[in-house]
Amino acid sequence: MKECTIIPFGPQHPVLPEPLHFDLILKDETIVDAVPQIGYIHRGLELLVEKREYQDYVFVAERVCGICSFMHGMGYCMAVEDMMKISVPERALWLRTFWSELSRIHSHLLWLGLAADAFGFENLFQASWRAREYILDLIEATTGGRVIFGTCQVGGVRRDVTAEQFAQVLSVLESLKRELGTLSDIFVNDASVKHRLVGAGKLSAKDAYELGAVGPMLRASGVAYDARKRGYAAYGELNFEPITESAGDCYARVLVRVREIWQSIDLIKQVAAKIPAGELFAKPEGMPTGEAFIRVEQPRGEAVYYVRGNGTKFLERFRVRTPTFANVVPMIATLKGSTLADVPNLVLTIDPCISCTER
Amino acid sequence: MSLFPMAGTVIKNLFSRPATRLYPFVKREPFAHTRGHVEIDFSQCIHCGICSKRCPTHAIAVDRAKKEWKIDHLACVICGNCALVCPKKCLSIKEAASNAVTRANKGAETETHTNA
Amino acid sequence: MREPIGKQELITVEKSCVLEEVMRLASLGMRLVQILAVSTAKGTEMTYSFGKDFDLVNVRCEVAAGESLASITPVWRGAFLYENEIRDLFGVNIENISVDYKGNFYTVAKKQPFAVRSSEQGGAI
Repeated sequence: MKECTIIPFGPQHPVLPEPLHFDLILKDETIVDAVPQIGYIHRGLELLVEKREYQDYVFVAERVCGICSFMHGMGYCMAVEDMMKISVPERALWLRTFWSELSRIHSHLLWLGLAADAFGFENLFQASWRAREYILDLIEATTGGRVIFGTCQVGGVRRDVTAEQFAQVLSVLESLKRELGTLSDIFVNDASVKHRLVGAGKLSAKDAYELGAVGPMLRASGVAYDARKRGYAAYGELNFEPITESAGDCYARVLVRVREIWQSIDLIKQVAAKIPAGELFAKPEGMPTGEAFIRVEQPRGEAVYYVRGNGTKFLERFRVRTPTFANVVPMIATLKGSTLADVPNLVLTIDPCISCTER
Repeated sequence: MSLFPMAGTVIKNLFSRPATRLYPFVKREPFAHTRGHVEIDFSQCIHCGICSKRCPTHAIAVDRAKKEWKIDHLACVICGNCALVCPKKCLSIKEAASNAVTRANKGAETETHTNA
Repeated sequence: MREPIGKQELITVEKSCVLEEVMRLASLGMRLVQILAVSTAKGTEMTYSFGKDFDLVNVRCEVAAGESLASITPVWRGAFLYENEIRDLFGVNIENISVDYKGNFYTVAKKQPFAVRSSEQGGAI
C-alpha cells in the first residue's frame, strides 16, 4: 500500500476569509480524505440569549456574522414573532425583503471576489469588491451601517426607506449594470477562468441531497430548492424561480451565484414598485413562551432558526443552523479525488462563512 | 508588430486624476443617519440606568448615587438601543465616527458626565 | 399577506426508538436538516429535524443526565458534525459516531459550557 501524506490546510491561509482547518490526506497529489476542524472563532453567542432581553438580543444575533448579518437578525425576529404570534405590518415585511435582497447582492459580490482570489485572479477580486462598494453605500444610506444593518427588531423594522431613497437605489443599480455585466462576462466566458473551474468538485444531485447540501451548492447540482419560495416576508408576492444548473461543478456554482445577483436586482425593482404604505412596527404583547422553527434563505443556503421561551423576558434557547455547517460535509465529498491545487477552489465554492458556522 | 503597445495606457495614467479620494485633504462625508457615535444631552438625563441595562455590550455605566453617566466608546457597537429605550430621549446617534484612541491620548475612549 | 407554505410536525419518541424513526422518515425521502439540543432540568432534549420540499418533521427525545444515545450517522453521514458539537457543548454521550473527535471538536476553556444555565455559571457575560 502506498504511503499517505497528511498536509494541514489552514487555519491561516491566503484564500480563507476566516479560520478553518483541514487535515488533507493525500496519495501523491490526489486527496483521499479530509478531516475538518472548526471552532477557532467559537464565541458561544447562543448562550448569551439567556443574559440579554429578547428585544435586545437581535443586536447580538446580527453580529453572529458580518456578511450574513441582516438575515440573522431577521431570522431571529421572525422566530420570536412566530412564537409570540405577533402580526408584523406589511410595509415592514416588504422592507425586510428589500434589505435581504440587497444583502444577497453584496454577499455574492464578496464571494465572487474571494473565488477569483482562490484561483489567483487578483484583479478580478478587487474589481468585484469595488462593485460591492456601491452596494455598501446604498446599504449605508438606507440603514445607517455598511455591514451591520441594525434595522430589524422584534415586531417590525426600525426605520423607513423613503420613495426618494428607493429611486436612488434603482438608479445606482441601473448604473452598476455595465460594471456587473463586465464582471459576469469574465466569470462566465473567460477561457482561463473556465479552465480552472469546469469539472472541478463535481457533486451529483443525489449526493448533494443526501449529504445535506443547501443553497447554490444544491441548486448547481440540479435540485431546485430555494427556501424563499416558501413565501416568508414578502417573497410570496414576488415573481421569481429558483436558479439551477445541472453540472454540479465549481463553474456551475459560479453561474448560479452570478445569475442570482441579476435576479436580486430584478426582485428589488419588484419590491420598489409594489411596496405598500403603512406602519413599521407592531409592539409585542405578553412574554415569549413556546418554541418556533423558522427557515430563511441566506445567500449561502437555507438557515434554520429555533427559539424557545419560558415566559420571562430572557429566552431559554436560540439556535441557528447555518448553511455552511450543512455544506461542510458535501464539500469534503467533493474534495475526495481532487488534486491539492484545487483545494482552495473547492473550499471556497461552498462560500464558507465560519463565523456563522461556529457562532 | 506594434511598437510601444503600452504607451497609450502609460500616458493616460500619467495625466489623469487618481481614482481614489485624496484623503486626508478630501474627507468622505457620511450619509445622513449613519451610525457614528453615541451622544448624550446630559442636562436631560434622569440617571434611571435603563440605557445601561439594555446595552448589549455593557458600554454604558450609570451611577445613580453619584449622578454619573459614563460610556466606553470602544466597547460601544453603535447599535442605537440606548437611544431607542431612553425615556427622556436625551441619547442620540450622530454621524461622525468616534475619535481614534492612541498611546498619546489613552483613556480618551471613556466619556464621563457627572453632576457631582 | 399569506402565510409561508410548508407544514411542521413534532413527533416525540423514546431515545431507543430514534434510529427506527429516522430510517422510516428516510424511506419517505426526507433528509436531515439539523440536530438541536436544549438543556432541561432532567438532562438534555434532542430534536432531529427532517425536511422534504418545504415540510419539516421534528423528532424529539429526552436524554437524562449520564445516559447515552445512539448516533444516526449510519443513516445520515452528515450528522457527525452536529453530534460532535452537541457532545462537546452539552455533554450528551452519543455512541458510535462515524467520525469521532473524542471530545476535541471544539476546544473550549470550560467543558460542556451549554449544559448548565448561564445564570448558574460564574463569570461576567
